[in-house]
Amino acid sequence: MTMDPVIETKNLSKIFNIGTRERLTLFSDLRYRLSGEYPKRELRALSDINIKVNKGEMVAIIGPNGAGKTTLLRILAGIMAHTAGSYMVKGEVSCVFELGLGFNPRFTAIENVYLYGALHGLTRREMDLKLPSIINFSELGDFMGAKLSEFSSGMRARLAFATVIETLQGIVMIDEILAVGDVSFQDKCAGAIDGILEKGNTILYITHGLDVLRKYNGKALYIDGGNQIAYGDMKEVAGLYERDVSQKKKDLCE
Amino acid sequence: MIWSLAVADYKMRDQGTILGFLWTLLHPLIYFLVLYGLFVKWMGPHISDFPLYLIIGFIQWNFFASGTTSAIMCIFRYGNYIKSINFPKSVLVFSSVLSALFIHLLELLVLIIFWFIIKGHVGFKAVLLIPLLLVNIYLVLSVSFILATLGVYFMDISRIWGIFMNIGIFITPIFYSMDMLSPAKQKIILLNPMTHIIKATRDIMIGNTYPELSGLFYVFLLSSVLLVTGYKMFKAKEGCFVEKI
Repeated sequence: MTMDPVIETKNLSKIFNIGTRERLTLFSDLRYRLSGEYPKRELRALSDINIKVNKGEMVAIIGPNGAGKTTLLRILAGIMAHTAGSYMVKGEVSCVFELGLGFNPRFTAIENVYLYGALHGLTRREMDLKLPSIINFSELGDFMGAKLSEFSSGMRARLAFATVIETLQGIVMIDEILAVGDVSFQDKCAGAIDGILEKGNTILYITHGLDVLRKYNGKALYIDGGNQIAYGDMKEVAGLYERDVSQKKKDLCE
Repeated sequence: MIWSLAVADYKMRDQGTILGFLWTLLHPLIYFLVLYGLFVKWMGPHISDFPLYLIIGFIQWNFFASGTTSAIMCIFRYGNYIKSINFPKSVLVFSSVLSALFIHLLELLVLIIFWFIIKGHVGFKAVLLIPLLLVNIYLVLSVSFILATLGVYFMDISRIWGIFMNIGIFITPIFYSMDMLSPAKQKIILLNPMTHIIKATRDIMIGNTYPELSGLFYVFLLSSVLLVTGYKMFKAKEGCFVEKI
């Protein structure tokens, strides 16, 4: 694997100001302005994250809930602004943060696929080319003309996943969405992820499933409370995380 | 992307109603009938071609009101997209205006048919309606950017703008004629950009004359100022939208 950094962060930090999270009315805003102070309460979501990811690497992002994993991914994807430090992301980013984003139950399956493509910057022509493989992967061939509201949730997930897999390009950022579908479908998904890696794409993957980690060779980033606990070889960091998890369980039981 | 969002938005509004498409056209027609019935005795003799006069005012106003109002919530409506995909948020504003434009174009079609029926012919000056439409869109867009940005930060913008739109119906010469007012009041009415757009439409359709360029230039200038301000405001705050939804 060549040392070609596609993602690099330097002391990346994010502070949320929860005091003004509520939308104000013009009146209350005026009141705050006149009195000179806005309600302020800070939440340190991320503190000094320093990582370097090379092209083609698979990086798992692990940690307890609320650790800041989603925040980090959203900042790297360009969806959210950071407050301090810097980061560099080279190349196109495909985000998979919500399965079936943009899917509208009133439209048919095919219409939704095209809508998804449009949302992600793909032209109609490009989607025309991808449609057959999407239909193939999702195994929903007969149902493509039906309205999405008639699909079961499992079918919807399959369609969503198939659409996502076929439209991924560049750096892929996934936020724990692969735990759906039956076993055979899960295998298909895992195979698809392998395929993505083989093509040389970089993957950042937030996950709670430690068995996923065992399958791949790569790095892992362990975050807790916004702090970078460990970043390095996947198996080592995963082991560290597991130890911490069982330690916490023991503490709870005592 | 703008196109897909606008189309999806439009389809959603009309799905589920069998007459969905027709309701779009029925709405201005019903309003027109009510207003006409109320004011014809009073204004009819004073204003030539009152029915046409009235329906022009109504349709043009409707575009401005609905276009700007839908812009207020356009960021929120697509909150889940903003949280998951990186894209220029201005797309949402464009798409909101485009959605209102679809309806407006349909109404314009009805208007032109009306025009043809009443006047018996549609002169070549009808072509002037196109640049007029562009100026109209420009105006709506410029106000929409400001409203969209404010809408993210303040809860009561919808209410406040709603009140403005209500007042607007009265300070725009939709169902009355400007010369019925005192000169002082006329000056105020002329500050309203929609006055000029509606007046220009009427000049073309009723008077069969060229619209006054000074009025339209004023609208263009005003819109430009608003657009530059609004767009800058929007872009500056764009990055923080995610956190507010």
